Amino acid sequence: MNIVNYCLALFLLLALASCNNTLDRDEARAKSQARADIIQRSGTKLIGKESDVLIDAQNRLRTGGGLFGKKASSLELFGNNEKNTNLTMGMPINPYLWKGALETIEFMPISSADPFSGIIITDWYSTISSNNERCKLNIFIKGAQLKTNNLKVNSFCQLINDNKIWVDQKISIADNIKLENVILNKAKKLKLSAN
Amino acid sequence: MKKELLIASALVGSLGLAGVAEAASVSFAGNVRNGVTGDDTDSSSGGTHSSDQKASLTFSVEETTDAGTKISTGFNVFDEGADDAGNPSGLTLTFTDGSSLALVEAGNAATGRIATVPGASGEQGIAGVTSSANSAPTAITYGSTSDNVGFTYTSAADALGVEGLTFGVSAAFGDDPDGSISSTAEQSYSAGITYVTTAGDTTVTIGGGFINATDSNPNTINDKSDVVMASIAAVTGDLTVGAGFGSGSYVDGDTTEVDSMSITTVGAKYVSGDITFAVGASDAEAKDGAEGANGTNTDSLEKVSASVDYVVASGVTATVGYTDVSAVDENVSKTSFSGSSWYIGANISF
Repeated sequence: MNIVNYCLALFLLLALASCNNTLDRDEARAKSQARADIIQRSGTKLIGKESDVLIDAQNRLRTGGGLFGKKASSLELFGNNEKNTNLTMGMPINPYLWKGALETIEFMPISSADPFSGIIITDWYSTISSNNERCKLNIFIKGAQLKTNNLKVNSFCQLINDNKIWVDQKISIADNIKLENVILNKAKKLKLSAN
Repeated sequence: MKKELLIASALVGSLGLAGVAEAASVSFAGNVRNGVTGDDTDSSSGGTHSSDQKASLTFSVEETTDAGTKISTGFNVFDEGADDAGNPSGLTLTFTDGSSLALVEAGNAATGRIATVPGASGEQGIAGVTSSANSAPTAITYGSTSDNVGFTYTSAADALGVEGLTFGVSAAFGDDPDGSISSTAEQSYSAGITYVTTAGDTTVTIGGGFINATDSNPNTINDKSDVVMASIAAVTGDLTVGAGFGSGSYVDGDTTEVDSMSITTVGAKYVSGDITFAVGASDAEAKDGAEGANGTNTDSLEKVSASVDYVVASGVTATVGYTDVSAVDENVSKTSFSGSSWYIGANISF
């Protein structure tokens, strides 16, 4: 293969990549037709020939998920029976999610925390190294079971402009999901240690 | 600052919960495609009908560390006799910034980064055409291969500060027994890039990459794989259109030298409620030769396909597909591998 072909293709792609665009990046990513992006977006856990995995991924995207829902079916091999929710008296929310959330954000100032409604609201938080940016979190724990759907994190960030005015930044759904994953992981381990 | 938050969380975890037993999330997923196909080749007066059944089942396990890195692996169970039966997935580390590192069962970064060109669904096709002496490729990724002893790094979205850019690089360093009757990929290098942008209401995905893999067979003159591929797809509302191109040379099977390979694919699909209409076409050719000899005569394969998918339920699609194939081997039209084929079946994901 002539190396010129490689360079030409790479140059073309980089040239296109340098084009300006201002539209919603999250929406664009959600419609990416790259094979790996389609597979990731579908949530399929299938392994094997890429063509077979792609067919499964497209089927899941077309139909809204698999037979048992959008996510891969979980195997409770380690006794994590969700019927055993280990409810604490008076708490209508999952205590591991609650404690996991508090431990995860304990370095941030808490504005309010209501264990009965399951709402944690932090104050604005900034660091010395990035004092031109500040963020706050709203965390909602919505049920008694330790599951993804019962946790919602909304992050809000602001940057200070030249006029010393804080300006809202675009909400990053991806970052919210990352934060949820950290809290869920923490909650899972708290539950294990309790058992 | 989000990263700092995550790091701080990791510190909390390591200080307060060190030594806590880790639980792995175990899940399974599968896909079953059952249906019937009908072939009507140009060489036969009557068509043939047959069943077409494919099934796969994967068990996967993943765990997220306190630092947010997800470690995942798994293995699949395919129909007995299939090449990939029991094929494990290697290890994949997904980092908090969205980038990932695949270890083992890696080395082919290009194919995941190209844009998917819409095409007809279904399992229709003339039986035997892909296993015949016809070396023309059937997909723009055809001929791409690598050794498993390698890694693939895939960047997070918006890589290198460019919005919409994602890239992957991979390398593998296999060393298999040299032999004149067997051919496997050894040292493999691959890179791929995806760029997603928008123009008005249209989202455009552009992808491309290359794969180069040396051959364990010392008598072949081609590399095991030396291919480049590029594709583009555009989504406007319910309509998706795309085109792709692949080119290069490789060793097909163990001893067949394939040169001047090229393939062009185009396709479109339109979603109307629960129904998806799709059409696709490909035009491919290649020159093949015996071990140690350049290819001289041209093989070609032209396909035009269409399908209708109907969403029956979550995870279940009913498919009707049709394909017309025209095959040429060594400059001679092969009526036994040319003709039309149809498929009726269901695709079930769980």
